[in-house]
Amino acid sequence: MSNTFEDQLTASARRLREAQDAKLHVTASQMSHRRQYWGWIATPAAAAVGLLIGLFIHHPAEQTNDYVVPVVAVETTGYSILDDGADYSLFISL
Amino acid sequence: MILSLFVNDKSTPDEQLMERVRLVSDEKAFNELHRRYARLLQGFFFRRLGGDNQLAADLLQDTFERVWTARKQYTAKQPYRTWLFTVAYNLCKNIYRSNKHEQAYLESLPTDEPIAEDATPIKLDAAAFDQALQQELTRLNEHQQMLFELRFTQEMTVPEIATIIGIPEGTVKSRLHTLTNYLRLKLKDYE
Repeated sequence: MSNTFEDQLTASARRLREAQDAKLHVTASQMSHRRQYWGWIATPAAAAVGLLIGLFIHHPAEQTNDYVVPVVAVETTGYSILDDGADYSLFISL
Repeated sequence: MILSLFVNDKSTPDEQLMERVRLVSDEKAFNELHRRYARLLQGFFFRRLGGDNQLAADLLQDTFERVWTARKQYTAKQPYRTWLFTVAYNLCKNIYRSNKHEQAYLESLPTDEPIAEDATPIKLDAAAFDQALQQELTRLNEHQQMLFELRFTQEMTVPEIATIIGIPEGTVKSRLHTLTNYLRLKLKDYE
């Protein structure tokens, strides 16, 4: 039960608002629409790009230059401080 | 601040959600705000712009696009609802300006008609009051309708209305007083 005329107005306006608003067709946020739209586009596009990259990696263009694998010969000399009178037969020079 | 990022959106205050929109362009928070206010705002436009649902839907989207664009200008001290309705009110004003002829017609309608002497007592129920009120609202000019919408339909406070419309609180009070007295007079038989 309303106490004042203002309360009566508020209650009536609320009833009218609820009745009107309930009939309205309200669409979802454009932000989520945009995201869904780009999702449908971006996912297949990313898959296609991935496929192309994969194909390229497995079938690279033929090499035209010869590569020279450098071979480095290393001469190593072993040094030892030998005592006088030691057995030199074990000394190995590489 | 960090903790607020993990709070459930459904129970998060509007201002915190808007703060997330402002700081990190949080689309989830933005969509939650849209979910909370879309129907309320579309109804606001629907009533204020002659019952055109398509126009109301378009303006609803315009409002939220403006909110998104101007998100960096939001300050957490400002109640979100007031800020949102200020944007919506300004869009309404633009429409009114573009429909000057209609506005002139609305303003030309009498707002202080004397009560008909042969008015007969009508059944005092809510439905009859609602119907009579709805009829009286169509007779108000654009400014009075907006004032009624904000005060009684959206149940806003005087300071909120003053912020949205951009006039002093004293002026809002004075206009509300005049409007209420007018409606009391017109709806005397339904009280």
